[in-house]
Amino acid sequence: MTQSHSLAEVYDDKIVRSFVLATLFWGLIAFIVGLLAALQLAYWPFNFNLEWLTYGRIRPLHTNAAIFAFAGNAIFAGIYYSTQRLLKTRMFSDLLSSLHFWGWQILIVSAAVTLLLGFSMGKEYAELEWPLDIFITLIWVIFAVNFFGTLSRRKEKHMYVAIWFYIATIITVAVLHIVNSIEIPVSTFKSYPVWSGIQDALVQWWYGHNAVAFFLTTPFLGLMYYFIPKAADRPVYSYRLSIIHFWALVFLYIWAGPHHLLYTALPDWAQTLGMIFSLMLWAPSWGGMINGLLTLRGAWHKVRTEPILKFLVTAVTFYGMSTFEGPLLSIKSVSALAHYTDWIIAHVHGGTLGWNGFLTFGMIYYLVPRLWNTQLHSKKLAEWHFWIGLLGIIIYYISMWAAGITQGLMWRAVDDKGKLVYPDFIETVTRIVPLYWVRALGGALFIAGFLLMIYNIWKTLRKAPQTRKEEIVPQQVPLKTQTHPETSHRKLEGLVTVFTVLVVLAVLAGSIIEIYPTLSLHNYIDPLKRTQPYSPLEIAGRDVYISEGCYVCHSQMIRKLPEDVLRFGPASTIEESFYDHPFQWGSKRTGPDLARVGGKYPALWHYRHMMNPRDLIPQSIMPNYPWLEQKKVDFYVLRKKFSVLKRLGVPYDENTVANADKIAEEQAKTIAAELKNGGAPAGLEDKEIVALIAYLQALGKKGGTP
Amino acid sequence: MKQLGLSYFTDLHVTLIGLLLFIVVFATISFWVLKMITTEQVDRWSRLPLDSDSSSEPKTGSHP
Repeated sequence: MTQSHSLAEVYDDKIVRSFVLATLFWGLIAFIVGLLAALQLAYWPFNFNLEWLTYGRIRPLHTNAAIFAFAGNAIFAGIYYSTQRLLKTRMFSDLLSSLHFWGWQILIVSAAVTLLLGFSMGKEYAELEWPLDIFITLIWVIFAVNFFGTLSRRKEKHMYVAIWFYIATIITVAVLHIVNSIEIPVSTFKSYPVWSGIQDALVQWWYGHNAVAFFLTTPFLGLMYYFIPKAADRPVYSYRLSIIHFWALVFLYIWAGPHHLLYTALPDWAQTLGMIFSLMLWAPSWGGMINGLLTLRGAWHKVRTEPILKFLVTAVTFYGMSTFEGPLLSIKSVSALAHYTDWIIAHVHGGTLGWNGFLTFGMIYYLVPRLWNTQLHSKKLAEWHFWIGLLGIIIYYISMWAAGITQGLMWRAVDDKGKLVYPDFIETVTRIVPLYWVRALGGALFIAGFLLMIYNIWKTLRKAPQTRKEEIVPQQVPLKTQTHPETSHRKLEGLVTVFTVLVVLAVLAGSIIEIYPTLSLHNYIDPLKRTQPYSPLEIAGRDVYISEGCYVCHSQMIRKLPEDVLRFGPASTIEESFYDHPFQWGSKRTGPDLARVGGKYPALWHYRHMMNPRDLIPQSIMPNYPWLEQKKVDFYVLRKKFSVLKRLGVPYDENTVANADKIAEEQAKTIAAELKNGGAPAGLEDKEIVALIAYLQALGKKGGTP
Repeated sequence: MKQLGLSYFTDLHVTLIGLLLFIVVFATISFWVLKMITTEQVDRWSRLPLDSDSSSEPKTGSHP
């Protein structure tokens, strides 16, 4: 029960409490799903032969849950708490706050269900299908209206730097999500993005990298600038530095996306652009980290006894490590070794577990006693959480570094005759499987620490009084009647609209310069002469490939590197994926690259490999896909799919669109007959396995090579 | 080498606009931060989180 104040305005902390509890709940789900995924790589039977629990579906669920459910709810909790206090006013609308909260939770549940059912766009961190994309936009607009409405009624003229970071987050995430999610629906849960091939790759990694920047970095920096001064009871070390930190970060971050595509078919100028801007990010990132750490000047002794400060300081340290490692990995020669390996996984988890996770934990330990008018049940348990969690992260980080560097070196090892030392890809997998067990141990420790936190918070809440005293908004002179002799100096930070427009310009400058030239690539390439689009059955198989999340473990991009060309064939070209809606270049090689797998093995090999990979490669860690020989292909929807693809510019003639189903059925009969002759069961001509085989056999066989 | 690096890129004016924006943004922000803001203002702004609620200590409400 909440004690109301009839006259004085109070902060809306009910919404903060809701987001805090949601953070804890979804954090547990995200971490457990992550642990399951880790175990699946160490021991394939953990896929349980169930389509809803295979790694290809679990991994997108884990990443989406960690980013949007755990970190998302944490961000909203921190923003709602700090914004009200920094602006000295209650949130603009309780109704909008409530709609935001419940809308976000419904979205998370919908995302979990659809991802497990195999509804996926096939684009990392943007897997959700079009109805959910629209829903995300709606919820984000509600959040934005509520936030900017609060800004408009604020009683403190100056917008503290944390608010700047929140504004940048709201604006940029909106731009990223909308541009990356432009798609044309085929059915209720199927659509094709308007972008294709290289354009899609660039837009996706512009989005993907900046989802990290503007969902996992800028809002957390805002929280850092609020909660570290609060916890240390000291103002930020240098406010001037925080201003430079903000503008430098917002301006530079948006350019760095192409560093995810080094040595690919992306034009070299774009790769170099991405690398240089990534290196430039060292300066503002470390400026921010140093600013955060130096805020504790004169208060370092508190770190020894205060678990909240331990979490916050360690989080900022991980921010420093991650933002050092990120630009390092963006150097082309380092990327050549690290890309597609578990080094990237180590880097990502240093950021999410160390930076986002620990900052969230520190924030929650700070907030809960204040929000529930009580004291933390046990400081000692919080200390244990810190040390167990930190040990878990370190074990995770080191094991994945070792796995990544080991595998990267094995891939590139060449003997004195110029041949690969480890030509069988599986050799490079089995070598690192023991490290997957070590990684799972690290993850389990991190979860163990988190469970201590949940227990600690639960005990704290049980002690909390039923009647809560809400915090009263301090009396302040209304903004419109405040007089400021130095107004000429304060226009920028006082004018929300001007400030927001400047943020938009900073973000759009890099985005347009980076993406615009690739949109005109068709002027220089004549794909009709070089590449044939996929047949109807191949498109059906491609959709199965996307639905099963094959892109999570297999790339379709042979880099312009000797070791890639020696192992997989000629480097991939722009033309080869020109009609791919979406592109499937991938970002990780848990299994080998598939860009030229077409024709490498007979259809029967693929059939047996999908049913049980260990029949052919005894050490394989790939799941079985027995349901693919049970589930039927929806041939009839192919007409609709081809109509959409034609509208998107894929050069299909009218006959192919009108008879897509019949053409697919004919091709399926041929492949099914070949399979039957080889000893496979009869009656596969309408099953998904046949469509998938058709697609795999088409990879690298459509022209487009030099 | 240069030709290879710039393959598929014919929009050099875009690069110039970007460079110009880059210089203008940093020059403006640096000037604003170093010259236009007084130390008193910075001190007050940096203390906003500390002044923003009635207590920095957790409340110890009475149990019913």
